[in-house]
Amino acid sequence: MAQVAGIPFYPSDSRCMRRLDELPWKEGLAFTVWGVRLGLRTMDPTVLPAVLPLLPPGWHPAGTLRVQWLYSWASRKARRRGNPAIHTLYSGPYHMNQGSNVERLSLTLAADVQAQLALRSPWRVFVHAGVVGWRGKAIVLPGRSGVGKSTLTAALVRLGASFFSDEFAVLDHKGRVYPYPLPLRFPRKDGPGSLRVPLEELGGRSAQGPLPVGMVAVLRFLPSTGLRVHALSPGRAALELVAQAVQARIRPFAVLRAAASTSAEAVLLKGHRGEAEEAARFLLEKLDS
Amino acid sequence: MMKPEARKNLLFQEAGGETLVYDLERHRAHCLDRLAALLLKACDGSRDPGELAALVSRELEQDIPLEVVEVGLERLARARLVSWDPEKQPPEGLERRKALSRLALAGLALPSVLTLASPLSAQIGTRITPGQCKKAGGNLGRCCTNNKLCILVGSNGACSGPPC
Repeated sequence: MAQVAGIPFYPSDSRCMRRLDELPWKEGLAFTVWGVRLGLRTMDPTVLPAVLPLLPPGWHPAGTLRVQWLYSWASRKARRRGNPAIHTLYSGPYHMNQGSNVERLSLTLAADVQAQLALRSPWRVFVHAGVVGWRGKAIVLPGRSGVGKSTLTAALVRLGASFFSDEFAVLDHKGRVYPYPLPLRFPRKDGPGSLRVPLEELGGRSAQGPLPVGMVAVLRFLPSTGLRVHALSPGRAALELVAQAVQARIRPFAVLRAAASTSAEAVLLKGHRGEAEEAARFLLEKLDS
Repeated sequence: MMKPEARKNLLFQEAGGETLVYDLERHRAHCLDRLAALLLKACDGSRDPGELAALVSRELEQDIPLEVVEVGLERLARARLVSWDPEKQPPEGLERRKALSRLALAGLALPSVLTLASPLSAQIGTRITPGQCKKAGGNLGRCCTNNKLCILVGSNGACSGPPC
């Protein structure tokens, strides 16, 4: 769809939003991804080129400037000559972050865009999980941050699995999973925050098109233990997926249906793992058998 | 004595022989086995536990004793899926364990109810707060529940729970 020129807008009664509307916006972009229409407006022409590569995969320009959620990136010159400009980022009417580091603010914006997308998508159910494809089936690894999803996903990719996502399993009502290939994120060992590793650095390949789910494995990393897993019933596996579904409280009917379809035909496992490579080999062999 | 009655505002979804139940008021998801699901669906406030035992025995084509039905009702009531005020309070502690193991030794499968709280979007890393969800107005759903979270139920967009 052709991009509509102009500044995107978000109709709101909020006083904060009305005050933001009065600022002198120079550029903007309205875009659609997974059925959600989002917008960004800026005062600084250098911002959009920095942000575009960080938008979720599959985005395209929207056919209208009226959006469901609007980001506002305000900029002003520093008071002292020679100092960098100060940027302030708003998500809707909410103040998100402020500073002169455009890259850092861009990452904040990208994370919030993903969150809004996962929360608002009317077509898909977003489950916090790592996902890879293997011989025509997908392996879904649901779990919250810190349980070792990204490490296990990376180990599976190194063994030849195709990469879907290490952030969200994007499910439809038939239980198929769609690729959502953002760079893998690992916790930094030297401090807070996360380290983004492009797929190419792992020698992996990106998945194409949706796949039916062949396995749901709820594994938690415990350094002192080896691999210990037991089978889950379809209902209990579906409950594990509901526990990680972003829209569980907003679209419970869609979430229950997607979770039930996903676990209907799959191998279902739960347990602890030690080293990621051992667990990855086990999962691939189990799916093949 | 109050006859057991299933609570309102529950969503049901079959999942491979089990039943997923979502409580729209408390935001709890439950996984029920076949016996527990049958019991829940039969609890319409008009049947006492004896009548429920007869009903589920007919449905399952096997004899389900009253004690098993009472354990099931107790578990459903504890998960707040059923309102039930039993005539005799169920045993606690050691007595309870003894009673359950007696049923298990008799080879009777007890109704199973597994519960979890559905997470806030903020708890799974999206950083969307309940306040933000509520203030987003019509974009996230037309209504919101007791705890001020917007909610849109079913394909027809019907609203559950009182309006904000």
